[in-house]
Amino acid sequence: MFRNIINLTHSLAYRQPIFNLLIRPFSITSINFTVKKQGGIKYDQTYKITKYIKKIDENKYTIGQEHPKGVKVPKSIPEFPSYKYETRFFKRQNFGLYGGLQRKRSKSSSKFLTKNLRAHLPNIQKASLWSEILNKKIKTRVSTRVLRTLTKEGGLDQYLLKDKSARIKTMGLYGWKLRYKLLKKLEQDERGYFQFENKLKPIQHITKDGRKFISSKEELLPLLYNEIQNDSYYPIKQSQMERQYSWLSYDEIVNKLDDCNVDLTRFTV
Amino acid sequence: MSFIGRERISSNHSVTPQKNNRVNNNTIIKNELLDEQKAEIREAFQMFDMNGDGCLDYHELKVAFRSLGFDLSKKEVLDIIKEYDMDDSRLITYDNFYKTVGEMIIRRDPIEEIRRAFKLFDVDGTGSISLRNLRKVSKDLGENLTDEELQAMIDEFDFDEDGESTKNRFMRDISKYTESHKKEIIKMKQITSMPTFQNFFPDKLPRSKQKTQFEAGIIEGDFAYISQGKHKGKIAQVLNYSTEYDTVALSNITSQKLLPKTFWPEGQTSHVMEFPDFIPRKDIKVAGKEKVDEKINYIVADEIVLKDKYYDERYKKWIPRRFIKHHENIEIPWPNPSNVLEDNELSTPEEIVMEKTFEFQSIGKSPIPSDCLNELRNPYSKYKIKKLDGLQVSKLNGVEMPMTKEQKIWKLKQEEKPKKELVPLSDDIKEFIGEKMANHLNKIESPELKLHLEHLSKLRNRDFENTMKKINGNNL
Repeated sequence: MFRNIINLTHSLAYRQPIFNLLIRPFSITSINFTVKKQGGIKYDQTYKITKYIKKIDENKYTIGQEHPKGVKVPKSIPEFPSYKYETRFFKRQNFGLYGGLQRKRSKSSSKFLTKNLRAHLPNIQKASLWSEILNKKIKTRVSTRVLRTLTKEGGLDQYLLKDKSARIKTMGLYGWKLRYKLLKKLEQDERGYFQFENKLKPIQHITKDGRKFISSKEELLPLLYNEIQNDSYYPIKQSQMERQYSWLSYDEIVNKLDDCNVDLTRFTV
Repeated sequence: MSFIGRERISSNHSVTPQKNNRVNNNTIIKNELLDEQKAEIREAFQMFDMNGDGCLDYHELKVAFRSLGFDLSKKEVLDIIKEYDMDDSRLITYDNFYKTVGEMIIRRDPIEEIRRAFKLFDVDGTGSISLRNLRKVSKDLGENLTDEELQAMIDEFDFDEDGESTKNRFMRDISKYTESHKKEIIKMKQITSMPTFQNFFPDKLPRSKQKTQFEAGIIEGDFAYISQGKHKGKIAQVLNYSTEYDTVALSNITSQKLLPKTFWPEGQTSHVMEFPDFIPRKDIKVAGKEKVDEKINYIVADEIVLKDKYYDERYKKWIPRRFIKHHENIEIPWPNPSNVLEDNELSTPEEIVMEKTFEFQSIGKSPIPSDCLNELRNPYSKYKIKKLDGLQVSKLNGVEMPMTKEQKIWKLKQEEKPKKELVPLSDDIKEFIGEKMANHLNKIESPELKLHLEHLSKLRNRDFENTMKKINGNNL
């Protein structure tokens, strides 16, 4: 009988998948969700469902599409990828590694059973954590729980680069940004460096035909603008240029410059 | 519009009586003055002698001088009065007036005279006479003519039809007043208007009720039979149809009006003018002229009807045909237009004027170049379909999180896996499944279960349908 009820509640819970319910009135922290599988019940890993998640626009827009109603175009291209689990409650967790820990409430009771609301704040410490990939220490506020996880995982990099969905949900906005930086650095490392006057300089891009570019996209764009301006019968405004070409990928810019027969050897190694 | 000329007059001559010459010239006046001029002086004196006592006071004298074309200052006028004033009555008699004016007329220069007459009206020195100028002069003369009357005067001589500021937004527009207020104003104005012009001008029709001459069915050059009023039974040629008043002016039905010299049209020689009466359209009937055996017959149409349009070469217009009502086989043709301008060496040939130099807008072809369209359109129109450009898309989509090593490996593995393909079942397999199913169904004995299974087979299975669609789609 009892078992049936559990199954019932469980199935109800699955009717409304928790991932889709982005805005929830209360947090669910300690319930274990059961997944019925062949050969018995397997308990899913415990994870935090954060309260009041900021909804993000996951639509992929295409060029030439009609301007969607009610969508505001940001002023600039965002620096970091959008994070699905950014909370709008206890916002300090967006500025440190809190591991999904949030403020809790309870009632304190006196000797005479007078009840007062009190808060339980997570145990937060300031710490500088060494990142092997970035080769520098990162000074943040970390919860002691995360410090424990860090030692288990074997470092900040391993903690942030784990692919499990629970980790991505609990690492918070700050962790998500750090993860982006780490992955970018890894990409850079893959591309390699070159020696320039007793200094290591990063190779910005490697094209398919093997050319290694040392200058950034922003340094190549003026060349392209110049070519297009020369090719046009009418003067083209800078803003118009930027609207048309500034967002192009490195490869596309190089291809366009190649089509114009621009000598790019001084930008390559 | 212009009375005499358009060039601006700068000379400022004023003829003042000179004491020394006057006595000597007394005899010359009688000889040199034309009969016309004598009559003129007499008329002017009679006209401005309001109280009829045979004398003019200062104000009357000044206006009388003005009407004769002499613009004298206050001091000069007072001097003249003083000279002939024997009994301190401050009045001037007709004899003395005749003497002074006669002297001045002899002394004046004909061209100068024309200039002065013009200048009299062109108070603001614009080089042309506007309604405003005319109003000021009429006010000076003490003849409070209505604006409509003044405008009629200007229109009479407005040959180049520039209308000279006929409408001013600061001007009093009587047509906007209420009916009772309007009547009161017109009444007040008529008290001070010239006696011969009192109740002369009919009421103006509102714009919405005005008809063109073709709509009204009567036009310049037509013959009209007067069916009502004083002149009943007369037949006359129409001089003009006034759309504003809905009246006609007829050739031989006129009344004599007194006009100050300043308002005289070209060729006028006396203060008395034959002014055509305003005869309402309802009082006249259109008449057709017919010549039978050198005998002229008139056919008077009680009512007329206007039917189907045709292009008239004489008027260069599409106009309706005019028939007698209830006798619609009888057409009254439109008369020949009176003032047809003849071509001369400077006029542009007709085919050049009528040449089509532009294209009409059509659905197929727009007259506006397509490149120009965007500039003409409203960039903020709510009907404009806005489309996302590359920069906007990259801003909206943002950057993507790079994949980790594990993710890359997983993705490669996924790509390596063969893709699931939906293939239709082969005949062998179909047979095998059918056999198994048949065996199983034959074993069933319970009729309820059979019924249930039959019912189940009839139910619609969306998933099955979709898969079948995919399979067939792949085959196709």
